[in-house]
Amino acid sequence: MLRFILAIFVAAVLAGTAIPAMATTLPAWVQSQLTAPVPDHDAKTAAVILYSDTAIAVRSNGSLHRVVRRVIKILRPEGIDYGIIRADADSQSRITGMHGWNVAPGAPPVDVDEREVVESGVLGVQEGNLVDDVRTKLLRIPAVVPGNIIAYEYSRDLQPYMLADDWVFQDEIPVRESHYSLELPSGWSYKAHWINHADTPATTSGNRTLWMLTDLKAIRGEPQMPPWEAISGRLALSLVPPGGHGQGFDTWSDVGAWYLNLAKTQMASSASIKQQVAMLTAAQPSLLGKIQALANFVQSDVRYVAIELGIGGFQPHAAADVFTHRYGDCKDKSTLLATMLKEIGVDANYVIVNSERGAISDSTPPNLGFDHVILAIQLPAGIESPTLLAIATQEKLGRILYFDPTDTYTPLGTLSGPLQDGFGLLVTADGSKLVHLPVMPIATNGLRRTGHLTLDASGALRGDVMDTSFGDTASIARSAVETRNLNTDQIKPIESLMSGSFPTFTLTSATIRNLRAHDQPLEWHYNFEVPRFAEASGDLLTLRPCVLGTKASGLLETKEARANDIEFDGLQRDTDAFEITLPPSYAVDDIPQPLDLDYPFASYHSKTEVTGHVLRYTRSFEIKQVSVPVSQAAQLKDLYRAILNDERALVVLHRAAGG
Amino acid sequence: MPRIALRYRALLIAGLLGCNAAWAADWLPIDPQELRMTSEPKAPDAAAVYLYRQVDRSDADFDERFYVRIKILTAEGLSYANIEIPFDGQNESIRFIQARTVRPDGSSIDFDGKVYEKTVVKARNERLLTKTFTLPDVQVGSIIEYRYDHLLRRGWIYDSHWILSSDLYTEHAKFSLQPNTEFSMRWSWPRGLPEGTPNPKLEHGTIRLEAVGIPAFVEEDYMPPADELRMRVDFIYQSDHREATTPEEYWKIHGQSLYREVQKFSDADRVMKRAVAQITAPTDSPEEKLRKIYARVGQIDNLTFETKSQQEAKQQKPDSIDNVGDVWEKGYGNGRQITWLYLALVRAAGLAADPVLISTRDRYFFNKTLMNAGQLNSNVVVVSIAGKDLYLDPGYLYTPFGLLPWWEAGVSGLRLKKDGAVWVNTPLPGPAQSRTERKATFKLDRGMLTGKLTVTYTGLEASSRRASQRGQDETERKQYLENEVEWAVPTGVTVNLTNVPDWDSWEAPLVAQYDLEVPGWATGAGRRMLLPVALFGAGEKSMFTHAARTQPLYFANPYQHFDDVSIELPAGWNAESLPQARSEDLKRLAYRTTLVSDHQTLHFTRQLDFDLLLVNPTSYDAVRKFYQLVQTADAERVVLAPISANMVAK
Repeated sequence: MLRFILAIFVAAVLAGTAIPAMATTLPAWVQSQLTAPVPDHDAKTAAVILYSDTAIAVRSNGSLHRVVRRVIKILRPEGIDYGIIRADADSQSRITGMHGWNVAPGAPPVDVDEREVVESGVLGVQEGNLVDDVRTKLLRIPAVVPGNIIAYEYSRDLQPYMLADDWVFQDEIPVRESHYSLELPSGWSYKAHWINHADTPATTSGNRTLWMLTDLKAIRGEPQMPPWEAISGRLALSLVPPGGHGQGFDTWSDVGAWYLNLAKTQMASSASIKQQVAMLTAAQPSLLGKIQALANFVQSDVRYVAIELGIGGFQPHAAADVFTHRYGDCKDKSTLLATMLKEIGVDANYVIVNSERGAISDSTPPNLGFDHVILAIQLPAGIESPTLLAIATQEKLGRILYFDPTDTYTPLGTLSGPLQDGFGLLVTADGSKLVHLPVMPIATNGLRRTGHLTLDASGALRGDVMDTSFGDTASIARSAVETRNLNTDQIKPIESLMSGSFPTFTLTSATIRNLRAHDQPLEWHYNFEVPRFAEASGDLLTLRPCVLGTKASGLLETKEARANDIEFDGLQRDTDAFEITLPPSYAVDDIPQPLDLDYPFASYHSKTEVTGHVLRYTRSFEIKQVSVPVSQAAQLKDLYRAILNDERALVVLHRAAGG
Repeated sequence: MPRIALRYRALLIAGLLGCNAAWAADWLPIDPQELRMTSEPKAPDAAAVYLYRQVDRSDADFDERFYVRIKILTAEGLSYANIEIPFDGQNESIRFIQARTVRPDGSSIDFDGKVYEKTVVKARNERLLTKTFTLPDVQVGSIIEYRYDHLLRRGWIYDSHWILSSDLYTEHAKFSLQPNTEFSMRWSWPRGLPEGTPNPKLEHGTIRLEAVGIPAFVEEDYMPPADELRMRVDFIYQSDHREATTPEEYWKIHGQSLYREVQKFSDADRVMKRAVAQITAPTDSPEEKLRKIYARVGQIDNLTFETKSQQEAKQQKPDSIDNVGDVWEKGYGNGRQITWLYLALVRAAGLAADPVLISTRDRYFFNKTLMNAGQLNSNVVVVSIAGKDLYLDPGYLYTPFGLLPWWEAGVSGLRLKKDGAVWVNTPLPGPAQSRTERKATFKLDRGMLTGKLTVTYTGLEASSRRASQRGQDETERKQYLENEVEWAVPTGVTVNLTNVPDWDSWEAPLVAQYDLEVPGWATGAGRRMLLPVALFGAGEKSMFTHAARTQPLYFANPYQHFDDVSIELPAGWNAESLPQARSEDLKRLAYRTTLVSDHQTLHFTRQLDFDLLLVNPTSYDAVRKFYQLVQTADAERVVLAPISANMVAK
């Protein structure tokens, strides 16, 4: 709530302040763009970038000076937000200047400078993000309306941990012309790596290298699309000081070594850690039981609190402090668990990952684009269990089990969907490397719904349903219940589910099992009555055999053609089985045809059968790929439509003679 | 015409008074039962509860002391161990923060970590900061405890309040306020006090309240403004030294001063007379004059509806408006100023009109006995014509003549007159005055409906849409209207707006025409097809799904939905059976359908009259049942069969 109030406060400060804009003369780089042609765009395009220029000057001490310039034509009211310039700074960087210009047709240009800057920090205390040092500077260019051309410039000094820079040249709006220049001190060199774009030559003049691209397409947001890093064009540059080695990372192994150097001193154990490990593991006869006990402790009894100041954005806190305070962020929790595991003779390594699948791939050059830390637990020989699924074999480490100590819903043995099929950096002392994280078997995630129901001659349906959920599906269901603060609210997920399927219903009971036993399937058992579930028309009674719930989606029901691949959290198998005892006075007249649809990425099978007076509807829905290529979007859309039709299909009963 | 009410009035007091002392070292004793407790029967499954909270404010010493003790009951409750204290960094400070965690066994660990100060917003004259810290070793079952002093702006006093209803259940709470004796103060508890709580008492210069068992505040859909429901005690300093002891006296005094303020702003007689001569003709009837002036005033640039950027682009300077003459001559003003311009012009046209200050019902419900003139946050004009009072507010864009925006309709207002203010009530329009009519003709082919749809919005249904789309372009408006159709139909549709609606009118209905396709609307059932009758029922489908209700229901304004749908059936098919017509009339809620089949065509009408404003939770079940009936009736289907099969069946 506080965050909401503050967001309004920031917006009010920005929107409410009258800015003393002054008539001014335009810099040449703005003036030259006033007559530039507008690049191709559609009716929904809010604005276009006429000119973009990023200039990096590297100093011999490894610090960088970056100047960003943009000239933007505002096309629609929605585009006036581009008149708010945003520049972020943190402990490694500071904004050294901001300036904005506005050119209205037929009017003298006006400008605004950094004296009008509003500074804002983001709060996330309730989510556990206690403090960080990211600051955002915002500068509102006055009098921005459609038809105007705005321009801005800001500069930033950086002392980065890593000698590298990224030129992200695509945007959510089209770009007509984009420049990037790099000025290096004598003896320095660079390595360029193009991502999602063909290699493009640079021109060099003295110690300055310039790249230029034109007519860059917009990347518009779509639901369930890959992360921006996976699809946007960018140039990743490694900066190499004289002698060939410095703060830059030539290889992923360099990144790992840097991280390990930060973290290794933090893994020292303490007497209290040893005591806690002994206490937690004493009653566990097996080594796996001991590992599970420690993993469970760090997941459940160490709460998530992130304090990320300076190098603390990368470096974990000391395990002993994390243990004493019983709080920490992902890297802190990983550090503590690795330290505790060491006490029972089990080694564990950091795996630094990006929680958005695709943001890091095996073709990504070495960089620090990670936002999460998990562990690879080296499994000693002899530990076998069907529950251990997130397993890989590494040449040097042997069998490892990936485990996320921050994810309180995903027990030891599996990984949550967003981490599956991505790449992480396995940090080891003798050569870190990028590893592919495993995909969990389809059977580990999904919902099994079974219903035993009775229909009477009035059309009323009554009976009970059991929902058993696994994996991420169970995590989502648990979260929906646990985040409710009132006991009367806990039933609301079931009420919402039922209201999506029945206009009128009475939920007579609902009980939940294994809510906090995260290593067990979550079970909802509920009992209900639905008057007029079946509709009477003369001698006919019609009813929907797919009684409850939906697998269909309107995701692809859009006017614009899908532009990006469709991402799912993970593989999933859902099954439904509804048995409906029919009223004896009616006989079955018509039943829907079975449906069998198989695609490489998903399948759907449904069947309605009648045995005596019992109607049985079964279906299964499988998501078989975590990512569906955009080329198959039309097939996925057809699948969803077919599922919707199946869910709405009806059985027709007619009154039996003498009934 | 809404405007921001002054949240507090600051009164400068000469001199600086007093100083603060740190908290005493000891924490309050903890009952062993509180250490052992695992749940609170009066708040089952709560993530945490306040065992104790205390707020002691002194407007003499300019500080406020907080003491909080929370029992963590579930893992979700652990987030309460992360504390953030916002404050005005320009003028205030937070001092003497102390905190500790008490384990279930009674042992405790004092907080000795770092308190972070974070800049949330820093601008030229603004600085909003937070003090942030987190408590160590907090587990489910722990008690967390913290206290701090909030040093207020010295030399200034503010209206304040004690918020009793919190997001957590409170076992025990104590509040005190030492008012500043330089000014008189009133206090009230408009939403009542927790059951069994004695009224706040002034003793020895301090007002005190002690309460136990304060329920957690519950937020629900369709509830009145939260400020209206939260139990609180409001403290209001008198802005002048004249003490009014009764509401009658208070409003008499304020009525006079408010009348003078309005008169002063509206005083530009010569300019107004010239303006009226341009707008009206001498032969116009009084109503024609009112309408013409209303329409003309509506053309004034209304800054309330313009962004700062738009104002800057037009070089409009709101601060330069001193009276209605400025509004007229500069051609712009905010909504409040434009409404007073209307008042002045109507008077200049020789018609009897009075200013009315009202309290909008979007943030709280006005209570004149609270004697808070700051709650009169908006203004309208009342004109007496043909023996009737007509309430008008051209300061809110697109409001048709004779209507008021919903938050100004059905509220109390102070009609300001030279000889004394009187209380009036603004009218509330009936459902038929705010209507959405959806008329469609379709062909049914292979389960898909294809055809034309015309949606006509009138009254507040039209004005609210026009206001929401003010300043948008055609692309955005088209998307907006198409979304409305998509949301009204309970399945995926392909919709395309085919006309350019009149977005600028105040009086004409807003008419949108579409091409519409609804794939899979009719469902196959063997050799038959089943066709749901109500196409536009999605809005009602999602209402009131939950059985339990804590808060009253609250709605903006009465409205009427009327649907008229004709469907041409595929050749060779006809209706084997039709659902019966429905008529359900609960006076304030009514639902009627008709359905006829004429050879190859089905004709369906559906009317929903909604005339509810505020509904007690005890009546929630009746409302829910009504909507369940609507949903059930909407889901009923026509059974279609091939004519030959039908013949066989017959």
